[in-house]
Amino acid sequence: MTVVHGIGVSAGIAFGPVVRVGAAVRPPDDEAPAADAEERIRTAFDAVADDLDARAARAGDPAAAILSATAMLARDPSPIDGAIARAASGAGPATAIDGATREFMDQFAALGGYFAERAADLRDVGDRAIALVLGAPLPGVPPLTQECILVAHDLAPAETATLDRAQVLGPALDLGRQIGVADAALLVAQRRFVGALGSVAFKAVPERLRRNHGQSPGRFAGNRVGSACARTDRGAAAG
Amino acid sequence: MPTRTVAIGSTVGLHARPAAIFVKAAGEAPVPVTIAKAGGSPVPANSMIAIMALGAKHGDEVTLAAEGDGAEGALDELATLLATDLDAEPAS
Repeated sequence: MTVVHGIGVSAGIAFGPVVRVGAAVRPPDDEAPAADAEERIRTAFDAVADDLDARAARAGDPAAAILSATAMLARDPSPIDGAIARAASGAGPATAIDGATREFMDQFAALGGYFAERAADLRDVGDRAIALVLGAPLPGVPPLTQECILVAHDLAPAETATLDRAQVLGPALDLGRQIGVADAALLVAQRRFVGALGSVAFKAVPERLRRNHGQSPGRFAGNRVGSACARTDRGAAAG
Repeated sequence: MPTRTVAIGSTVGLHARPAAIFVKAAGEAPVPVTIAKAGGSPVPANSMIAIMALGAKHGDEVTLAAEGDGAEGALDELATLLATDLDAEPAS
């Protein structure tokens, strides 16, 4: 039996089969340049934005606001123009999208805080555009047919916001990074699932961190993310 | 090239709601407009991502630039927006 330790971010307990969130498709190595790269890149970003806007129109708050904001990132000229410039200098279309979105993600990550969290939205937009330009299945949550525990490395805020609450007993996230007080994925997970029977969300402690620091999950929680969890817990209790 | 240099009037900086209002207005301008912090490279004013990465705080001076028909009017309008505390306006 596999045991994964985590830090609860909302109260409750849940049992269910595991459904894994589809991993993002990576651009192929040595992707060939395409003569119609500009058109394909524009079409892919357009389709990502249209899909997010359509989901926003069906969703209630706060999901709609998050989806609309992510759609705005997909329509932003900076990553699109960056990808087209990279394609014009010989990169394949998927490689160009990957490079351009990563360039801005790195800038956001370096700014930290609020910006680092927007980097997750941008990665979601980039991963969707890459899948579309390659004709591959979209990354993310597969259609859910039964109650389950959703296991993901990370959930884009847009995905967490639109999860089918009736089907998802709880998301288990291995974020592999320090969580912030305003971490959008966790905040949305709490709003969506608090009050549901057995609502849980975990930040699993990466095995390598526990090994490197020789810490138990509890000590890890206290030292690194305990205060963040306590503050988000209070926010959930008040809301 | 016509330019306008203006200090950011929004108390939160060019960020969040003020940035969204500015980016929307820049996207509706008849000519492409760039914005730069002192000593920095100009970035497209109609890109939320570029504006966020710019990280202009309250009181920071930024320079808007544009060329072509309608550039002067667009720059005047956008400079006025930047100088206003957009976060203090009633929510629409």
